[in-house]
Amino acid sequence: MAENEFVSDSDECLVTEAINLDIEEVLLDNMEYAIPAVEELPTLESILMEPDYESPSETDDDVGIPLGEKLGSSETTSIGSHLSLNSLNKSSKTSQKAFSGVILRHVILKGITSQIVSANERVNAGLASAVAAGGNMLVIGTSHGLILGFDSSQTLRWCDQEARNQGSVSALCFNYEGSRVLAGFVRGHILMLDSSNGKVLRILTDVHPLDTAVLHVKFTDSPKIALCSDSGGSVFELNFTRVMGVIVVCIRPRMRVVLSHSLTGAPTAPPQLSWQLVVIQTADGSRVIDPVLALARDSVVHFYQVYSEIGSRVKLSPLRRMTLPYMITNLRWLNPRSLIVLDNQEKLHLLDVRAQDNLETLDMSRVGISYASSHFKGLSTGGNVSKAMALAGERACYNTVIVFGTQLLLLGTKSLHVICIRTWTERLQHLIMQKRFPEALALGLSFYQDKGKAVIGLRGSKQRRKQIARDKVCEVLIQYMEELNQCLMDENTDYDTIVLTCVDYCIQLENLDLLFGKLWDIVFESEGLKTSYLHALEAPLLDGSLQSKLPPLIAQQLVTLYDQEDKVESLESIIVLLNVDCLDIHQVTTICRQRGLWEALIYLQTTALGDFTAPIHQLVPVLQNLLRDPITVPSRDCIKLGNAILVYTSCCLAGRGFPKDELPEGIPQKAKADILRALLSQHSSLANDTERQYPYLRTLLQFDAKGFLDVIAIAFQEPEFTSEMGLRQRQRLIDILLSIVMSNTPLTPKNIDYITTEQQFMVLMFVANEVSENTIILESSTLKKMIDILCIDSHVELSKDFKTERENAILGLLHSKKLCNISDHTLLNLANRASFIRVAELLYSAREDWIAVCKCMMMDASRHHDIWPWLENLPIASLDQVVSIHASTLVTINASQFATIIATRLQNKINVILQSLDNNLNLEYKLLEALYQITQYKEEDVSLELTTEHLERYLALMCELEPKCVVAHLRGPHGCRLDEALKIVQRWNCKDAEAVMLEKLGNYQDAFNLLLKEFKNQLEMYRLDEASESETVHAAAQLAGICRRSAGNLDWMPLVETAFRSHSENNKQKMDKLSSKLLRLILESLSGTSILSNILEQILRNPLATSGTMGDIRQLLSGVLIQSRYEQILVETTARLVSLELHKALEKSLRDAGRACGTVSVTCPVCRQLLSHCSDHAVVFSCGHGYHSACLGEPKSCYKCLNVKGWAPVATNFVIPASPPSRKKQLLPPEFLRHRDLTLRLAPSCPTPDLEGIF
Amino acid sequence: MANRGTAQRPNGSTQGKICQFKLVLLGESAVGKSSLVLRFVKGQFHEYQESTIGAAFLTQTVCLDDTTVKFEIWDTAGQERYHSLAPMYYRGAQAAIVVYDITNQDTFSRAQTWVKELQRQASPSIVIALAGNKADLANKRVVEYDEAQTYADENGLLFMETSAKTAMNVNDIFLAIAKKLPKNEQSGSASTSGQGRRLVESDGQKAATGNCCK
Repeated sequence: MAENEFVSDSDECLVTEAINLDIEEVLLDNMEYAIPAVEELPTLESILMEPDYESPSETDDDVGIPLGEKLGSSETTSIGSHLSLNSLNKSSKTSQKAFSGVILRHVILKGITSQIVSANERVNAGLASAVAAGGNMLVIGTSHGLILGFDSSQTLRWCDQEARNQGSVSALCFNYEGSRVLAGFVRGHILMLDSSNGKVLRILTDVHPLDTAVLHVKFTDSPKIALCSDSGGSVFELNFTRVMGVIVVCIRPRMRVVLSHSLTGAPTAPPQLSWQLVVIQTADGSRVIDPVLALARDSVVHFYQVYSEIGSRVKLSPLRRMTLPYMITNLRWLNPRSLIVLDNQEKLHLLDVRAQDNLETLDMSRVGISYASSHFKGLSTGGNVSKAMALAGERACYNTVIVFGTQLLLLGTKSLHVICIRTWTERLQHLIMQKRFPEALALGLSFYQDKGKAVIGLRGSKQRRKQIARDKVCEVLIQYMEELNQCLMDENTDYDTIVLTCVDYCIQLENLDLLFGKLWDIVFESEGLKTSYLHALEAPLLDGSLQSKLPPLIAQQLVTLYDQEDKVESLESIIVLLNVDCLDIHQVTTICRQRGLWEALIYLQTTALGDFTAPIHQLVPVLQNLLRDPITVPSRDCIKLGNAILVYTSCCLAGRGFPKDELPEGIPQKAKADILRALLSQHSSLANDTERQYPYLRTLLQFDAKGFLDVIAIAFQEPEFTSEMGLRQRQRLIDILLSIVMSNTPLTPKNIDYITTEQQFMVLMFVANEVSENTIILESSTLKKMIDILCIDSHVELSKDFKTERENAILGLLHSKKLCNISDHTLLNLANRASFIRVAELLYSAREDWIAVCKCMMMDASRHHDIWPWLENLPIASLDQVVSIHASTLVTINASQFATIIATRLQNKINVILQSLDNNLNLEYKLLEALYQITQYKEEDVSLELTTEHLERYLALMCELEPKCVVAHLRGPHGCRLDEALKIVQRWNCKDAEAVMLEKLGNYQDAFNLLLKEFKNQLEMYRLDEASESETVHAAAQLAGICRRSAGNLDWMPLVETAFRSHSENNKQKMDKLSSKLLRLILESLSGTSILSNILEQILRNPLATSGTMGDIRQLLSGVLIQSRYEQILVETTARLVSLELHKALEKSLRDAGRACGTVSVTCPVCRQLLSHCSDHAVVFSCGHGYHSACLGEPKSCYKCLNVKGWAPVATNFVIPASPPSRKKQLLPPEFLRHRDLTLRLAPSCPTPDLEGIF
Repeated sequence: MANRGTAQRPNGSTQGKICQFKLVLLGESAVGKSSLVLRFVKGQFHEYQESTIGAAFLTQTVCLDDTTVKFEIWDTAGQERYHSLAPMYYRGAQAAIVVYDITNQDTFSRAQTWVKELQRQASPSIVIALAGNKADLANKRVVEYDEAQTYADENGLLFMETSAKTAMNVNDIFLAIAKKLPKNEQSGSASTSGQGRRLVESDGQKAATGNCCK
């Protein structure tokens, strides 16, 4: 067994070993080690663990024996178990049972508890205040200073009253071996006791300051060193040296800070610290065992990995952080995966560290946990403690909630409780006792799948653990199954669910013996259970979690059941899935026939019998009969069968299994040969005399010609049809197909063997395709006949004519030159009959009848875009002919493309082409427009000039057909003679265009008059609501525009007058609005062209002003005034802005002038001499380039930055300075600056002009 | 293995063992295999029994002293085209009944071929019975009883002349087979085909086989 420990690589074992380093007793936790030591008394551990002690084989014996009886002997009470037992007795329905207590076991140590109580009553020991356990002893300190020592059988061994006057025992600790106990008291004493007899070995009275309570005492791993802390907040190191009997207390132990982590939280939250050796998976996948330190305060737990680097330097690295929804009062590790936390509500939480789950919560309030708050407050020593200490001790229970091995001891004031995690078997047992089988199974499965949490007692290698768990869960499963026997009597039980659960778990546990053996035997007795069982098998069968091999009896029953329940689709999928050797073939075949489960039937025939011909021989006649049914639309069943046969045929021809998988080695060849032989049978097995040849092929064609031909097409890719022999097979198949569709004795549609025209087409197209691909050869007579059929007269009514497909087939033949034997003429006739335009086109092309070709192309809208490239490549002579004949159609198709062709190739024929448009004005206009566009947007390779006649014709046509575009056209480069253009527009009465032309000719007045007249008409129409406002405004704008362009040559007063007069008429309001709008428009366009005062004058001089009242022209005048004010402001603002800008520029140059600048070089780039060698001045520009002022010509500028090519300074007057100039030369401004006034003159302050009112 | 506690079975025998055997029927078509099985399993007889497709599966339990013998019967089709199926069924079988028709000599020679095939291909421990069916048509007899008996003796076969129509010797031949079959052990050889295996392993069994689970 020990070997087992070492060999295994599992976490658990490593952990166990890890604990062994720390606490020896932990070994006893392992039931495999629970052999009581002969020379020693049984340890406390072993007694506590006793009820858990059970090996899987013994579990059965334990069932039914109340746990309490077993516990009774050792005077412990398992609270959880008792509760559950009680509730069991009360009622059989336990499903409502609370879920707590499943994982954790809560036990009261009755012996110790009664001793505590009696000690208090008899010797006034006070309440229990501290507990410690070690070795095989357990000591309890009381509030009156008594220390009670118990052995593992809970017998009181000794009682120490040495320190009765020292107040309450505040801290207890065993040393590593468990032989010594240190006890701390609130009044400051520390005692060292022999744990076996309670003898006081040492009394430490003055190891720490007076008047402070001892809060913690701790032995270290070294037997000579212990630590203690007091309520003053100090930690002391106690060194025991046995020889001298001297106790040295290091008040200031030598320390090195390894980690500092500030724990924040409420002041009343006591900080927590707990160690555990844990297997840690590192990032690179390797595992290390290191101590993990859990630090906690308030609701946050921090985990730190402690490890020592080379050089024995201890390091801590943070692992993770966990936030809990409650305040932590105490925190302890129970095992490497589980933490146990006591919260401030006295609830105990079991946490899984890895998953960070709260596994279970137990209420501990009945324990009455003994708190050390009075010790922390130093009440017995006068309360001289810090506030923080007093607050932190509010809920301190460091010495009353401790871990011993894997158990948690909770010391109440009058009792001692133990909490431990149940072993996995116990947990299962616990659930089974309460008849919570599904939960037990789920739990067991989680053990089996190694996903369980807080698993205790499951040991060994991974495989071994799996094995153990499986055996155990199977036992549970068997127990659960036996429930079924009972539930048969009870009507209310939901046996369906039980059966389903059992089946599910059998499969998940991979225990088919149980599934097909025990479980089947149980369900076989009852019809209802059997039905549930068989139903439960379906899903796992279909999803593959259950093997496809069932015992024949079960398979038989399953088939029968599904047949009875009419679940034919499920049945089919199950049959197809199951192995043949477990099926009752007779039964299944019969059912498949009855139910029409064709796929399943084919599967059976091929898989079981290896007979690939049978499905064809048997099922095609069935299909044939169904097709002959007088109902025109084939029934669903018929389609299903037909499709099954087609898919099967395809699978076989491709050498694949049906309906899935591959065929075994060697079989595909057989399958292919067999199926082909069957298909090509001349007659069926039960043929009568009237049967025509090849009934199977015929039937399949009749059923779905396209589908069948697809199947053949796919099969033709197989080597069986591509090798030399294969090509012969192919030829034979095609010949047979042709003989079917082109029989010498035609059938009437009423004949049952009739092949419809559509089917015929499809076969012929398929054959044609094969011919074009050179895989088969046909006699020319056959080919002719075939073509004749394909080129059926297009006037024949067909429901589906496949015209494109047929045409493509013929094209394919033409392209592969298979139709050489048929004359062009015949073909052309046929193509025309069938209106195969593309075929005809091809034929005409071959004859070079381009006109006909073009016609063909034009007939097919989808070919239109091909015309243009084709035309471009046509020889010029042919092009000429084609174009002259088809010009109008070509223009209709795409005028601009056509124009491009003309522009590139037929420029000299424009006239002819235009004439050939048969005076169709629209087409002519379109073509001219396209041509005009080409002249406008010249491309590099096309140059076209239209004659004036053409352009004028274009203008005329535009006036006629698109008058709205005329004005825009005339404004552009219209290319017409002006007077001609004027005539044209006058002829077509385009007033606007006429005005434009007049203006162009310089006749402003006429243009103005014309437009004014128009405007007046417009106004009149507006008044009568016949024209929209925008049109009127547009007319006015045009007028205003012409006035503006004429630049003072026109008298615009008539315009003002007209606009002005309009408002005096009726329809007042509307007109008022309009006239004010018009006035504004006019004034705006006039502003700037004439001086406003002149305008004003003219207005006043106008008869309108003299005759009418002032009120009539007030609006006009005010308009003028506003306009003039606006202009004035504009002028002012502009002036101001200009001066502002000037000012800014000056300011900048002054600033630059005042700024120091350095030279980048000490030489003058002009003369290459040092700048200091200077007769006059050196000039340095802001760019950093410096020059001798003499070297620079005028104007003074940096020639390097000028960037003017070839610029060179004038250096004629340059003289090499004779001697360096004196250093103390007075610095004068350079010559060109000397006479300038450099004082800053500021412009008058200028607020931003307020333009708001103007716009 | 075939041994298990049956105390909870309400209608089963409260004591004793349950043995499960796979039995296959072979023979020329129309000799009466299906009728024989039908008579044995359901006690019925149809004058016009439809011909079997492939194979049919039936079960029947007989009691023999304190042992319950459960037969899993595969009634194979006699037609030539199903011949290829036969090995699948006799391969894992513990017993076989080769049937012939006493009014047809060909069926007897066919039966002999079957016997040879079984001796060659099937499990060496297979119990083979020869059944001369249609004994009610004794007036049309072609195959003599002695001839068949001699052949059976030579080959160590059980032999009976049966009649599915009159039920003569039908149950007897199955019982004779049941008696001859080994009942204490090795019936688990049925599990070579993976079927009909009933496992409730005792601890001793587990210890003996070591790891019997996957």
